[in-house]
Amino acid sequence: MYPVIQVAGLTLQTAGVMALLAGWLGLSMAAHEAKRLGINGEIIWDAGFFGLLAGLLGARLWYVGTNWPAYQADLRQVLALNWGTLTSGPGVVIGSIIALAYLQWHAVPLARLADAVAPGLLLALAVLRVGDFLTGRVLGTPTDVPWAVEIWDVPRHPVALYEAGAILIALGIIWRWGRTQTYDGFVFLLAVFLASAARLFSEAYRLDSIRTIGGFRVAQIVALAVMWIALGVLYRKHFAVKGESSKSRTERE
Amino acid sequence: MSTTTRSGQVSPSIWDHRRTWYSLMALTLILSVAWLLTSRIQDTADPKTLVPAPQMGFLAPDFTLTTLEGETVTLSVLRGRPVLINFWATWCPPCRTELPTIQSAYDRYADQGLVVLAVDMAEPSQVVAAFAQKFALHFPILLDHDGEVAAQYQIRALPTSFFVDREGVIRSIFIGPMNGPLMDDRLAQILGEGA
Repeated sequence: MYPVIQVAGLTLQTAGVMALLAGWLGLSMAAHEAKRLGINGEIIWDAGFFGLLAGLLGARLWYVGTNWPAYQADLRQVLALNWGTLTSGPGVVIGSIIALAYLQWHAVPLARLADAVAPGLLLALAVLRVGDFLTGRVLGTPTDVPWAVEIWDVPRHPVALYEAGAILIALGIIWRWGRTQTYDGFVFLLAVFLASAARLFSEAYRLDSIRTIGGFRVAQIVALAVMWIALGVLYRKHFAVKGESSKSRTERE
Repeated sequence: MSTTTRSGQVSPSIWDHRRTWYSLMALTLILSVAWLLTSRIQDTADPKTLVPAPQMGFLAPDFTLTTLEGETVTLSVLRGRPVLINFWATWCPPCRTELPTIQSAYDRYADQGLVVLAVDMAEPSQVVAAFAQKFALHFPILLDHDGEVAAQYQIRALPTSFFVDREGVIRSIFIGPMNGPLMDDRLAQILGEGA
């Protein structure tokens, strides 16, 4: 396990480094795809930046708000940043809303934007999972397969790498076959379908899955539901677009 | 998705057949459900709580250290009591601001079974003893002479606190100094059960 990385005498937190790397690579790929689809890449970078800023601020203020007695006495503490004193869920929601609002304000077509962002999101997710492998945050079930990795004294499935690999395969499929723009939103739907499949597969090797009745893993059930919804929308869109194009053909005739 | 052939007729791709989609949906469902079934978790205990790791939800890694007074303390022997493990050092200003808060928590919750283990990182015992006397600290201070336990707990910043419940499972981790309400909030998590 490598919770910290040594670079030129500096000790860096692996989780933070990988999160930055994921954000940078993901946004670069999104900006590249945006350009290809005729959206201004600059706007994506700006939206990412504002979203991140708003997300951090939101996560912090949420934490201060919910722990107000702890800060009331000493208001300077509000400015003392610490990873343990951020609430990530609301932060992600607030950051996403701000980023989306910014894009909406610049009148970026959202379905096409989703197509531009989807491959970058997959790449970012894969990098984050590699980070999870390095820090040992995501634990696999014990195993004796030859590629098992010893974490906490027991050889385990490198489950975070499984998911990273599955996501990269999904990205490869999209890069090779998915980018023919049949209609806006297609790449995004395909990415959602494939990423859910990746999770459905890799979750089986996780040690700390949240379970429900019958020992089923909640994440797998959610992934299956999302896969089905994505497939259903893909199906309906396909025939709707086809119907439209054949209609316009008959109109021309 | 259709391609126009030389004769000008539209030849549909496989995706234009509804049967392709129905087959894909059926295949997705069958494969997924089969995978879901095979990867069900059989045993009832939460497997995390059996793995010693310095992370939330896992079993607190065991250690044995000696106190300033020369007594030996082993974490696993304290099973059944909630434990606050605090890593600190005398040269660390944030630790100094936090120690009175820990003393106050110890005074208030000791009768509910709370154990405080303040692990000093790699300092001579005379230095630590003088410090404890000056700040009137009465909870057990453990000496981690070679920093082995700090390494075991992957300490990256001081102070770091681990809140361990009566089952020996880490319920929360806090990096940085805590004030009273922040600490009480976390102590309630480990004091609550079976008090």
